[in-house]
Amino acid sequence: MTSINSRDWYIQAALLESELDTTVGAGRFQFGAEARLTAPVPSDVETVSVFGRFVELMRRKRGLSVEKLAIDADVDIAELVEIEEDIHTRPEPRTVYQLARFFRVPEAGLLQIAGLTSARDSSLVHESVRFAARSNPVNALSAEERLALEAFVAELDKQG
Amino acid sequence: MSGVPVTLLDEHKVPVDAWRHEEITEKDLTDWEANWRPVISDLVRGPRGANNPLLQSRYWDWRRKVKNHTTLADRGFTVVCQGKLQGMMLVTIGLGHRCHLPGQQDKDQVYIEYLESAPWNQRVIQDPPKYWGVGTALIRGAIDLSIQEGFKGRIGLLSLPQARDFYKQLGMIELASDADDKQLSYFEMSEKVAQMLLSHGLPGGGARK
Amino acid sequence: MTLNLTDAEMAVLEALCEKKELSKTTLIRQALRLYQVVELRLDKGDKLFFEDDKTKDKAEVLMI
Repeated sequence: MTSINSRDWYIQAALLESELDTTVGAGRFQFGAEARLTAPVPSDVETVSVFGRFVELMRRKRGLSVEKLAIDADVDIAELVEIEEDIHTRPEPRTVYQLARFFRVPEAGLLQIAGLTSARDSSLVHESVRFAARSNPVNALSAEERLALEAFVAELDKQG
Repeated sequence: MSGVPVTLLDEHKVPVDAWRHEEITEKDLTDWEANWRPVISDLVRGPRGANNPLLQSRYWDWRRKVKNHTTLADRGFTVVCQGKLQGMMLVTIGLGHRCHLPGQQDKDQVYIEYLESAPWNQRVIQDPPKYWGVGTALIRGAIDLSIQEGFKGRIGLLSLPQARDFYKQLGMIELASDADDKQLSYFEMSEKVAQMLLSHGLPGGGARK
Repeated sequence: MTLNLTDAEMAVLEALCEKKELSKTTLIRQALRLYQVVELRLDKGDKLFFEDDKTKDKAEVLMI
């Protein structure tokens, strides 16, 4: 193999990019380090709102405003607001990943809860629904909320 | 700030000269707002948006991202062709991310936080795209930076399943926690592959000549 | 820019360079990045901790 010059390198790479699309199938390939979902993942409506509730409680537990959490976890604040308030939001994978790291919970479990991966484990889904039911939207974390959060995190850790 | 010359392919696969810059300027952000966002917004609101889960996610707010990444460890990149913004990337140098691949475990890397091509360069939005090769041109920027910083070409990134083949084609190794197709995959480039890539081109490219 | 380092400091610099396989310049760049990011967080009011891997105890790193 001979060495390749810069221009040829880029041309070759671009050609391969174009050919890759053909094998995957037109319209299904999305380039990007943070490619968005092209195929709908079956998601439980419950698990998406659970994710929002989880983020909210973990945030309040640390006494953080939404703005501060966005800065500290390095995620978009607009997206964070939607995650906490809008039951239909599908969060970006990177955001879930960043929040998992920030809250120190296993990424796999959180991705599942966020509806980004298929729910393979029914016990996690059950725990999620119980957790969502026990949380209420009042500002300070009640003792019950705290217990529910702890049990939920323990379940997440089990999956991780 | 002068840029690095790169080459893209137009929709007829004819080579086109372009530039890669190692910063995201106000001009770039204005270009993004004026030219990328309206296309994406229209798609989201239009008839295609209704049926396309891809387009139901919000666009990335690059202005905010750039504003939140202004330390020495942050580096932005753009690819510009004929005066128009074609792609953007934000990376982190060293801090917060270490390698996982055996042989380079715990060594520093350049980590790709965000990478996006203009909507007209994404095949799922426009087929054929206006330009091929924008993404690779940006990734090459990350590899070059990694070498400049003494990291020998080590880079890392997170990818959704649909983009996996692309990174595999570059020779990156996938390190997912399990083989489940729907999990987010972490990809890492080894020093050796980076070296081969830069001197001899892409693994799949030889046969083409 | 010239750096005036003592022999001890130079020895540490060289040892770190060898360990991380970086040149003196790239190592100092890394150190500077780290220092800047830490300072930014401290300015925000955050604290820096080391965590004992076994006991999970946290010890605060005092920054000047």
